[in-house]
Amino acid sequence: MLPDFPDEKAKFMAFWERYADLVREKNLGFISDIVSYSQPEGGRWQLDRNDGTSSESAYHLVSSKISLKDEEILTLNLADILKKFAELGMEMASQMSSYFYQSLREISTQTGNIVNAHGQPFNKDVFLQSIEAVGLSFDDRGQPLHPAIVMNPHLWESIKDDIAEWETDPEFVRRHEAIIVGKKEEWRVRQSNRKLVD
Amino acid sequence: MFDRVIENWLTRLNERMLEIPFCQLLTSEGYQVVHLTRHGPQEDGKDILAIAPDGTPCAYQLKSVKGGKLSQSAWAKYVEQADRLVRLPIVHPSIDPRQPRRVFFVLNGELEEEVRTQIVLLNDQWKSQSLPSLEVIVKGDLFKRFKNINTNFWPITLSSEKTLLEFFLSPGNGYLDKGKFAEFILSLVPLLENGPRNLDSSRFLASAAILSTYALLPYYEQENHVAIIEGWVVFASTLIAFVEKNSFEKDYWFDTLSVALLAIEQAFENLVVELKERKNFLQGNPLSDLPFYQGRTTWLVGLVAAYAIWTSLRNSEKDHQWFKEFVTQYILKGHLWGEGAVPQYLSGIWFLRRTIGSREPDILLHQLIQAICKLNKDGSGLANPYKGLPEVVLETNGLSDSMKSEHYKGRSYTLEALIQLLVRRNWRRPIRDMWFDITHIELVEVIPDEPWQMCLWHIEEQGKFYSLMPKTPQSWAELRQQSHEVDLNLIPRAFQEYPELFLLFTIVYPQRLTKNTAKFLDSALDRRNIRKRE
Repeated sequence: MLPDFPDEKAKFMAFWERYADLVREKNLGFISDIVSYSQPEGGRWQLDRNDGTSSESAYHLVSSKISLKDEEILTLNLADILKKFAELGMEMASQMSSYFYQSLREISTQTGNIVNAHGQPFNKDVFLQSIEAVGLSFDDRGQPLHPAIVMNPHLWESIKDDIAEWETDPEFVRRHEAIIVGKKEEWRVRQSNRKLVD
Repeated sequence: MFDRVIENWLTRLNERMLEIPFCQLLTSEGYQVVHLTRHGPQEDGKDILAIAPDGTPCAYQLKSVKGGKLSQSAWAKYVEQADRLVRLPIVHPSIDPRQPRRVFFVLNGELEEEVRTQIVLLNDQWKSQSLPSLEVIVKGDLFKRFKNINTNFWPITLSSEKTLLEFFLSPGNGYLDKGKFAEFILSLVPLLENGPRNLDSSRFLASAAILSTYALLPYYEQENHVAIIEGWVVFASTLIAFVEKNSFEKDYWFDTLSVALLAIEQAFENLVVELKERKNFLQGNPLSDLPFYQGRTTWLVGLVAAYAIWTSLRNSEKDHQWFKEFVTQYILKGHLWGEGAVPQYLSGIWFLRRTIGSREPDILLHQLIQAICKLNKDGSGLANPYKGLPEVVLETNGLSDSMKSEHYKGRSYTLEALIQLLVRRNWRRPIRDMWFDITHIELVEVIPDEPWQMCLWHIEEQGKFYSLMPKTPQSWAELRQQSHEVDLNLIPRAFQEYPELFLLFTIVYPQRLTKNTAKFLDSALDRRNIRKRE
């Protein structure tokens, strides 16, 4: 063999992998804001929630690879390497997003936490029904911590101009505020249940 | 190459460093080691007492010339001890003093010709007085016997040899890489599906023990007592995993475990001697010691407390006053550097509870829970127990090699254990006051599929990662009931029998401090429940 520099090259690889991580986080969008932890051991995972429900699952493998053709190796430059790791990051983000939404769909179906629009377009009523279906938390000043809304970009294009109009509709505003008040009460009850009893 | 390792190792040993591996050698050859002199000059010239496979009592005196030759002048200093070794009968409950005995002078070097001649002449004299002959074991004999173990009983793989060399050539003054050491021991004691027979297992466990002493040599040379303790705890844990998985009878592994426990005790004694002499706990370069100092203090408190409990349970209670003063003085001067420190604090708490009563230790337990809750509420959480002190210090000071920082806030591996201990003590109001904050923390632990897996440093494919969000609201009655439930099926039998070893195990393997482990130890170490071992 010829002289190699594995330890030094490992530092470069660590740097590129970190770059791929950053691309992945950027492409995950709000999903990357969800707190994540490393779980060093165990072949499967069980979660017992505070409402008494429980679920167990295996771990889902997310993987991607970088391929290099012989002829391209010698001509690789910095931009090419960055592109390859960026593609890796985006592929990982794509797989993680798919799995995330698939899991969300499964859990929502299981718990029945789904709003069926029955073929209606996404309008004020559907929006208010959706808000009503989710749990909402509030900060120390009593302001709602609004959830992220994820929708198809085409759907967003079709409704984004309507949203401004919704906010001028007194009936929509009244119903929206009533829902928020109700959510705050639900949150207050949840908070007051963080206690020891008997 | 392996021969060179053994030879090099033999020449570097002093007397005390030779004791443990020699005991392991005897065990591997079917001897039963019944006594190892702890320290100080021997009154009867006997360092080690053992019973040979044929039942003959044997006494050994060990000397070191570090590979050189024992000169006449050196022999002159030892001849009186040798005379005592030969003349005085073996006094031990396991040995009939009237039984013919064999006595040995063990040297990790050679004898000068004149010394050899003198011993022959002395033997003639002793023989004429119906005394046993002094048999001599020199370096060449030791080398052959140590080499035979590893050749005959279990082949060492190339990668294990590499790891052994890495440990053997390490400076020995640093933090023992416990994960790497555990992996090394595991490679020597494979957890096979269809395990070997009892007798084979006995031999290669002893072989693994001797290989462990080779690997720990640099730490012995540096008198890095804490690393030695940790190394032997890792060995003992792997042994327990192996014997419990394969359901081996105690007779075939107990002696090897006993010698490992002796090694731990010996290292503890040396640690205590050093601590008594020290004015502070600085070590190495003082300019960069500050970030590690308080964490080291907590660690030492945990170990000293564990040793105090160890001596108490093994009927060799001594230095009791010093233990009490040390733990009391330093327990509040340490630092909760990560969840890896929680077993160290608990060790101190359990010791103080046995010694000074329950009030102050229980207050400390409460403060520990408060600290974890506060760090999760207002701070960035506490590093998980998989992170050791050096790693956490580097991370905290922004000097970690890892490019990616890890998230700790909102999750705890040890909080549930601590809560259940406080609930056992019926501290309802403090738990009530903290429950709001507790409900924001995810309580997690790893549950092995089988109890022996708990003894492994890492469980990958098997076992379950369990996560609990505290109930809202939570019934106090339910908590009280849970706090008294201990599932013994989750705890290896050897640890149930030796809670003092189990306590030490949780300090060395902090990731194994679960609520079940903590509750078991809480009961086992409660003075009111203790039955001292016969």
